[in-house]
Order: sequence, then structure tokens, then C-alpha cells
Amino acid sequence: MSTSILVVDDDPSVCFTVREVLASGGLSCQVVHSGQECLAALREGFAGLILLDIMMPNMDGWQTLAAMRREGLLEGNLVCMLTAVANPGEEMEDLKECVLEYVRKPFSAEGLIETVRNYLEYLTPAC
Amino acid sequence: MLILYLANDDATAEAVERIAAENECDALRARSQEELRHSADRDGGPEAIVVQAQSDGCRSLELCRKLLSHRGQDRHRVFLLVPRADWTSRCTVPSSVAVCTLESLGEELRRAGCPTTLLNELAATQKLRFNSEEELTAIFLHAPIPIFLVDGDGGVIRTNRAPVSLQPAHGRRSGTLGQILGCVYSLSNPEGCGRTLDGEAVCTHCAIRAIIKDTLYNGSCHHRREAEVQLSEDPGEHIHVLVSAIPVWINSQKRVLVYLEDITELRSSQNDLEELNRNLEMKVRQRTAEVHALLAQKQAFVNQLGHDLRTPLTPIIALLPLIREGVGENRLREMVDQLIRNAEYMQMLVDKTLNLIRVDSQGKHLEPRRLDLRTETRNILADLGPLVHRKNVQVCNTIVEPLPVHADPLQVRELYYNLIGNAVKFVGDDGTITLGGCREDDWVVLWVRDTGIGVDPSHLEAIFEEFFKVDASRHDRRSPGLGLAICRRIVANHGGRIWAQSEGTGLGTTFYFTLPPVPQGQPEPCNGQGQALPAEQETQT
Repeated sequence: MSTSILVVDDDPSVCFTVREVLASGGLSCQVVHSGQECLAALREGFAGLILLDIMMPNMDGWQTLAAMRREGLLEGNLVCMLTAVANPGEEMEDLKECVLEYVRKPFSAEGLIETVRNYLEYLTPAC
Repeated sequence: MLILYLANDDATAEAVERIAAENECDALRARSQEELRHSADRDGGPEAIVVQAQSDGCRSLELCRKLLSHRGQDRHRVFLLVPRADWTSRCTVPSSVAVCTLESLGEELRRAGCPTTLLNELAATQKLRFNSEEELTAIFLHAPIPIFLVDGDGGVIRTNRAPVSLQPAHGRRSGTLGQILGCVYSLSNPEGCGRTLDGEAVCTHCAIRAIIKDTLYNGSCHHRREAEVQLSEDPGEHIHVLVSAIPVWINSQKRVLVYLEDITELRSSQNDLEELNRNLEMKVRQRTAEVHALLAQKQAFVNQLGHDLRTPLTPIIALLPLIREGVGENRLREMVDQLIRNAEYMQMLVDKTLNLIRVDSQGKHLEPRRLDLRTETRNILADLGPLVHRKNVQVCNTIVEPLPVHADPLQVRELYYNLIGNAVKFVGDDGTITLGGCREDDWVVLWVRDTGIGVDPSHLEAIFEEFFKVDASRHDRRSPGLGLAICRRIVANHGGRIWAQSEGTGLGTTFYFTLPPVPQGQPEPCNGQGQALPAEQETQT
């Protein structure tokens, strides 16, 4: 399966884990470590499933998502929030139409692979 | 009282005797005018003489005049007994003679009374009046507040002792009281007391003077006027005086009764109280703001803590199973299994701890709504199917009728997850878990019953404490001991209570809890015993 997964997380160990878990399921992914890098990747033409962390320095996941919507970068992409934050928070209310799922850390390898495979089959615009 | 009477006939005499007896008087009949006059003149004679009128009454009236002129009317009263109330005579009736009929004789006798008795009563009345005057004077003189009686010209015609006695007693305030007294005493002087302040006559703006004059010229009966004046003797020291003026009429002369009350202490206390209230309100606002800031800080801390605890767990939880797949040696696989179990326990501990904090902080931010527990428990049991299926556990939901409660759906769901998860954990492989509920009084009582290991009666309350474990060594890795603490917080958030019943170890446990019913809802059927409804049971295995 071609690379159509973008992992956005500031924590290197989480990035490593997601990459290894997906690899164990025969999936590859592109990894970036900030919201700005995520936007840059999208501007360069990435299209696919985005696993987006919320708590990141400088630009958190919600700000990144808002920027994506503002710049029209959501077109052709699916977004899953992948985070250790227990509750979505008030920001989610405004942006939840852009989010497919809220995957909480720590996650099991099987659970993540199953979720990713499900959404890769659709890959239709989120909003 | 002795009554001497002259009657023309026996019937009248009998009537007079009867009337005299009715009025507790002794009656003595005179047989002739001479006998009457003779008896009347004797010492110790009658206090009343009744003469029955003859024909036109002139002769009888003449007799009455003679009786009165001889010893004076203060000696006895003379009554002319006439046949009718409209009786008239061509002769003049002396004013001292009381004309009456047999019907009115009793009343006249009572009204007249005995002259001697009248004197005694008069003396007694005078004595009473004298005593009352003495008492009133004593009250007036010794009243602890200054009282003045002011005449129509503004002159003080009487005072009690308080103004004098208060001056030395008040020490530094004597000067201020002196100002007041000076003001009152100089009411009749158009120039006032002569004191000036900044070149202006103090009396011009004197509230005491104004209120007394207003009462004198405009005051109606018993209408009290009040004014509070603030005087200062020393800079920074204020004396508050309440001046009351009441118009009174003495011998048809209008007077003003003025009394003064030193309310400095009262005002001082009121000011202190108001100051305290202001400070208290300010402190409450400050504390509230601080509490809100702390709560926000706590929430941010909890969020950060949750993130920081879960993030490092992510590689451990996700990667250890992958590592285990690649390990061929049994001993190493056992080691990895041990790591996985501990990592999962740590994950559970983190989740429960953060849940407990979240539930605790959500107490004041519930979003309760109408929730039918029949539907809700069915959905919860469907969600928990995989958990229940790990063991061969039977689950009976006896809530087969609609059972609405007014509760936060997410918290109720978490409550059931914890209680059912707890029951599954401690029930045997062939055990049974029963869910039930009913409306009881003002609450909906619900229960989760299991046939598990039971609880020692001495632990029935302690099991709801945070981190309580029956195993004191805390080697039990199945539970961090927070599930029931979370349940207790959730139930408390709804104003209800939770408790456990168990016959003892090995005899199963029932957890009861109460939730508020839907306001103005219809009462739900209940057998009132807190037991499962005897209805068709739904069984899920």
C-alpha cells in the first residue's frame, strides 16, 4: 500500500511507535513533528489520512486543523485526532465536523491498525 | 345605706322595700310627714329619703324643700316618687330633688350611692392619683435619657435628671452634650445659643431646634418626629444623637416632649458591621476568583498530567505485544508478558485516577437530562458484551419497565461501567450479575447484584474509599481500587447515595445507589422493598 498516512506528533517516541505499529500491519507513513510541518506537507501535495496530535508546542492540533480548513487544505484528506488528551475540549465543537475519530493514547497496535485500514478505504474529503 | 320613705299605700311601700333590698339598702317607712321629718333630722339618720307624690305633688314638693333646707343636701338625697315618667307638676321642682318612678328608683339609688361612701371613694381616688403622680414623676426624673418638656414659646419648662447626670459621666462628651443642652435651653431665644462656627450661628442649622419648632407649629397628636444629629467635639470623634419630639396637650396647652438618645455606639457598631460586610464581600469575591483560578489551574494540570502520563505509555502498550511476537525463547516471553501486564495495570491506574479527578471537578457542571434506565442499561450491557463474555457470566436486567431518572448520561454510563466491571471481576465463572431498580419515595433506587466473592461486613463502607483494597499488601493487579470511589463521586454529584450489602465473604454483594427522578414525572411501579420487580427477566449471557 502506498504512503498515504501522515503522522503529526511532537513526541519522537510516539512517532517511532506509530511508524513501527503501522509497519507491522504492512502500512507505511510519513512523519512530521509540528503543525507547521504538517501544513507544509499538505501544501506540497500530501493527500491521505492524517493522524494529528493535539498537544504540540507553538501550534497545537486544533490550530493546525483550523489553518488547514482556512487554507482549503482539508480537501481530499481525512483527519483522526491521535492524542493523550482525555477530553476533546471546547475547540472540538467548532472543528468536529472535520474530524473522523478521536483515538486516545495509549492505543493498542491492533486497534490503531484496524482504525487506519478502515479510513484508508474511504479517503473522501472530510468537509 | 338607710332609706327613709313615705308611701301613700302599702303596695308602693312594698315596692320600695323590695327595690331597697335589691340594692342592698335598709328601708324604713315613716307613717306621716311629721315622723318623716323627725326621723330625718336625727343623727345617724337616712342617707336617702323617698317621698311619694300626692295628687299634683305640690304638698310633697313642699315637704322635700323642708327636708333639704333643714340639714342641707349634703346630708341626704331626696327622691320624689311619681306615678309616671311623664308626670308634671304646676309647682316648681327643686333642682336638688330627684324625680323618679318605681321603675327608675333602683337606678337612681345606685347612681346616688351613699354620701359617706362617695367621700370614701373620692379619698381613695385622690390617693391613687397621688400615687400615680408620684410614680410618673419618679419615672420621668430617673429615666436614663434626657427628657425636656417645652412650652409653646420654646422655653424648657421641665427636665428630668438625665441631662445633668449624664454630663460628668460622659467625660469627653460632656462638651458635646453641653452643646445639645445649650441648643435646647436656648430654643426660646431668637438668637439661639450664641455659639458660632466659621462665623455662622450654630443654631441656624441646628436639627434639634428645627425638629422641636416643626413639632410645635405643625405636629399633630402623638405624631413623633425624629432627627439624627452628628456632633463633633474633637476632630475625628463624632457623636450621634437621635432627637425625638412628640406634641402633647397639658391643660389644653400644646407642649413638646423632647428626648435625646446617644446612639453613637449603635452607629459605630453599624458602621463596623457595614465595613465588615464590605470586607467580607470583597474577600468572598477574591476567594471565589482564586478558587476559579485554582480550579482552572487544576484542570490544566490534570490535562497536562494525563497527557504526560499517557504519552510515554503509548510506545510501551503498543510495542510490547509486537516485541513479544518476535521473541522465541519462553523465558523471555514470560518476561515480556510480565511487562505487558504491568503496563496495562499502569494504564488502568492512570485512566482511573484521571477519571476520578475529572468526575470530582465535574460535580458542579453536570448536564442532567431525562434518561430512561431501561434503555440505558440495555445499551450499556450491549457495550460491555465482550467484557462479560470473557467469563461464563449470566447477566439479568430486571429493569423491564421504563425507569426515567434526571441524570448526566455520561456519568451514569461510567457509573454502570464501574459497577458491572467490578462485578465481572469478582464473580465466579458461572456467576450471575443482576441489574434492578425501582421508584421509591422521592428517589429512584438502583442496584447491581453479583454472586461473587462478597465483602466482609466490616469493609462495606471502606470499599468506597480511594485506593482501598481488601488485600492490604496491594498486590492485586486487577484493580487500582478507584472504581467504587468514582461511583461514589458520581452518585454524590447527583445528590444521591451509594451503599453496599453483603452477607459476608463468598456470599455475593449488592451495590445500591439512588438517582433523582425526572421532575414532575409519572411515578414508576415499585414493590417498595428495594428488590427486583417480579416481572419477566431479560437474560443475557
